Amino acid sequence: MKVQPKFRQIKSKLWLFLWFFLGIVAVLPVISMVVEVVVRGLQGLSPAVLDQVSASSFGGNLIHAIAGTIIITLLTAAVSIPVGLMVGVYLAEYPNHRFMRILRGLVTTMADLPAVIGGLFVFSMITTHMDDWSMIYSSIALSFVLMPRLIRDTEQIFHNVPSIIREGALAIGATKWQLIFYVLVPSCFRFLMRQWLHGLARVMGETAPLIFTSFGDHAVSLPLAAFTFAKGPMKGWILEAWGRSLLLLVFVSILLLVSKQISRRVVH
Amino acid sequence: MADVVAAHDVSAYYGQTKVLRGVTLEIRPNEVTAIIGPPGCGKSTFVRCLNRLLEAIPDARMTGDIFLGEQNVYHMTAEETRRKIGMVFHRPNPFPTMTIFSNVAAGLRLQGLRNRSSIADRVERSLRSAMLWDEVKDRLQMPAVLLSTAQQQQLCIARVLAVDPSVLLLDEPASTLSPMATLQIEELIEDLKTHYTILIVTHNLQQAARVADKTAFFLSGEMIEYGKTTHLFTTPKDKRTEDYVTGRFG
Repeated sequence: MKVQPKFRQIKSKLWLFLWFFLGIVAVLPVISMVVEVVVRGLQGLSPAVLDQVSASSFGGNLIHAIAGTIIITLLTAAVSIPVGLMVGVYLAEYPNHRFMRILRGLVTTMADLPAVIGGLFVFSMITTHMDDWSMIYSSIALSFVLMPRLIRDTEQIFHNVPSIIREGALAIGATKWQLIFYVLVPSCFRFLMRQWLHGLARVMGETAPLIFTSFGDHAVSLPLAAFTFAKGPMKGWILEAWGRSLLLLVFVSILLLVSKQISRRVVH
Repeated sequence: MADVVAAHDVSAYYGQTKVLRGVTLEIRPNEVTAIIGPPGCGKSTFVRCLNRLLEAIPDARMTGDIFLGEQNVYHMTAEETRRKIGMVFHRPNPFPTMTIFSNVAAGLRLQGLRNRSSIADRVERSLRSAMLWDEVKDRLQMPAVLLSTAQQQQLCIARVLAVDPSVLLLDEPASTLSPMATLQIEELIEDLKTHYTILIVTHNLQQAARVADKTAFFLSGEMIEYGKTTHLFTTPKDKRTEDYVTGRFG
């Protein structure tokens, strides 16, 4: 049977509408969440609410939480980025080493573990023994979450370097280490940077590992403060939670925007 | 100073697969020697044996001996061998984040040379030898990837020349270039042979006929015939060579 052009046009438009509709369905929760966080967060950050909470006995200093978030993120970066880079390079550049398979298996398993496991691990191994809560423990727990992801990303980025670039370096007498640090790392740097920022943006919002490692000090970081306030009985506290969520959203968005800017440069 | 490169009974394997079968070949200095043959005949593998680049490929290995002048290359380090036996690849591979200057200087810096004026001298000399100096002398700090494909290939030749090799291996150096750019590279090869031993791998028979003094024909990992280019193309001794150069296969 011959298909009429008109029927095909209608069918095409129907499909187009369906994709558009599904696209809206997918994006709507994100948009509504962002709008909700911004609207309520702004209320939560108003001087009146902040004064009210500061006056209460519940210590919720906003500056502490912001500083805490930045410090924890920087500490996590300081641990995870060097380790992620070195192990990722090892996996990518020495694929025939004996422990490679075991290591890759471990990294894959760790990367897929829920973040709370990292927190629980640090809690049982360190926090309970030290009998204390600390931002350093939180950073270690977050590093457990971030490191395997960075290792996996680094390995993938190094795999994507065309073999002809490697051969070019070796052909002028580069040793393996010179190849890695003189040619491959600079060539991959923007891609690595993008993944680092992405990873940090992800862990910045993690709450679960922090519950076990710095719960004793609820003001230590934005996600934990938001979590603690949200559980509170008073209306002002709930508003405070929204305020901290908004700040967290801003920080994460900044990191993602910078990361996006870097990827644009990568493409061009 | 150009040196003889001699391969004695060289075989190569990728895993269990033998891809090169006992090739013995002497490449004379100040001449251009071409290797021709259909795809998969072991041309590029042979070239990678000469500068020990095959070692960088996982699961690849070779047997036999390679001599550079009087010296067995396996008595040198792989890095030293590769500096003395330079290689240019089938498509330009400048280091993507480096400027034109840094690309050419890369090999010198990797050797630990730090003296700026001496590096600058070597870079200029290499770019002149690669016939690229006049085109890039005013934009040495420009990213190398912004050059045209032909210029990038000349840059890669300059990068190799900078580390002062005695032998140049060219693995299909013009395969991605336009006819005009190919001609330019061929003129460059003609010019370079006065100072270097040159081995060129090519799938382009006309190119071999144009640039090579001697030609070797490879088939299924074996060297079938080797001799003066004019003889090999006009009066080949082996039937398989004749079939290949007359276009009956390949």
